[in-house]
Amino acid sequence: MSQRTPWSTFIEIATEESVLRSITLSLIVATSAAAICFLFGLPLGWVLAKSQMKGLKILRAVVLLPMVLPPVAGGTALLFALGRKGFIGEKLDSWFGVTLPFTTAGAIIAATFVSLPFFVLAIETAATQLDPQFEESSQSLGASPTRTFFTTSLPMTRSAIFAGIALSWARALGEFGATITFAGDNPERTRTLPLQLFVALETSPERAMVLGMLMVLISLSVLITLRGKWIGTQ
Amino acid sequence: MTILTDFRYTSCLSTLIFIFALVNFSCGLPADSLHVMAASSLTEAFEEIAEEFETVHDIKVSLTIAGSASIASQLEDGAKVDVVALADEETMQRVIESRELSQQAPKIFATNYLVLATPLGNPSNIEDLEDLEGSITAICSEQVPCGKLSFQLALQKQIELRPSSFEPNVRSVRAKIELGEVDAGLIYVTDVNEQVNYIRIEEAEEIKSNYPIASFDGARVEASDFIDFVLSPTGQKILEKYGFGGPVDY
Repeated sequence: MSQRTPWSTFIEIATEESVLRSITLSLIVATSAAAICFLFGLPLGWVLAKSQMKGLKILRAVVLLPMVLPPVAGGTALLFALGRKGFIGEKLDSWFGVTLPFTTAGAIIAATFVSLPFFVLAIETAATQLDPQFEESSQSLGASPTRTFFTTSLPMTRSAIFAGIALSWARALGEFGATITFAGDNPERTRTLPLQLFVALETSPERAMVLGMLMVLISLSVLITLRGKWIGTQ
Repeated sequence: MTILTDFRYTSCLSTLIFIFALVNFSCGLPADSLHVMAASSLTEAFEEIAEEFETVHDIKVSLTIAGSASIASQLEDGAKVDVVALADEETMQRVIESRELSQQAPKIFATNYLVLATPLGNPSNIEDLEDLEGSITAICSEQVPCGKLSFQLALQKQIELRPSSFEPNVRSVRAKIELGEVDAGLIYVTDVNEQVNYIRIEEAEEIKSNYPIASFDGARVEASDFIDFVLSPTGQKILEKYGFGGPVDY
């Protein structure tokens, strides 16, 4: 792709208003999705790793489902649940006047839906592999379970957390199927880079090349920065 | 050990069966069939036309349906096809510029126009194009023929279209309407089905899309037979059945 990109027109196309808007939207959506994944995924992953309660297998299957579901199927599922006529979405609309399709919030939800499993998996794996002796010694020294969690267990899974954030951010950035199905293609609120690329592919392959290259460059720069700073070997 | 339990024997046999199956079922597009690509609004009409053609001409028709812009992209990339039927002349022009057409120029075989469509029961009480402003609407992306036609219509009626979503093809627009996710949308009169309610737009019938059909250098001999069939009274009757207008006589 690097070979076929018309570098001379790269800057020209990359600085077009619609493209800049897509870049901004993509960054907002991916970062918000990663943040939500962190907020919900951390407790979820931990519970899946440590809890003994029944029904855990089902919970894990449901959480990991978006990973194996084709994204468009995921988007359709979201539409049936959270769309304006969806069984939850209908209530949202009639009680609060809130509709999610065609909004940036909808795009964020679609992106979160597909990237949450990645974060949860990273946390669950790390939490399961924690050596219990550290938590045990912390508690034997008098720390409460809560204090142990925040001062011992959590910091020990730090690199898994950052890896999970990077993974879910990257997955959210590239999401297309669920976004276009659930959030639609709205140039001001939901046309992220992948959607912009899809539109360009059918009309101007040159433009599509530039957008593709743009996505590669953005992803690479963020992932390289993250790796350098946080994901070191323990 | 019996023959069936001898692992080496069964693994050998299953490999052979696998290869045999692969060879027989891998030809997705049989070499001796007519490849036709048609725009998505032509789905049902061309499926029926292809079926009729097969019974009359004793050759298999391999029909691919996609958005007109998508078809043009694939042809630009060198896809092998015998006949192409698109939803507007502008997209056909794009195809002409990238491939050599056969001796005959593209022929117009049908026309279409837009109508306003709403979910059943018209919950938002949409009555005409003006009502679209301030409603949640979906139209085709401007890259595809129905999108271009939508903007043409809006320009004519001096309405500013601000849809909530630009869908990649007309069937996606219809799907959003069927699901009730939008208050209204613009679709072709031929796409109206029992899951949507439609409203005629004044003078929209005059802003038509002309559907061209063409074949290429090196296409099968039956390609021109297919085009003739589409233009014949039989073909035209099928198109009319699905709501298409006839070609304008030049």
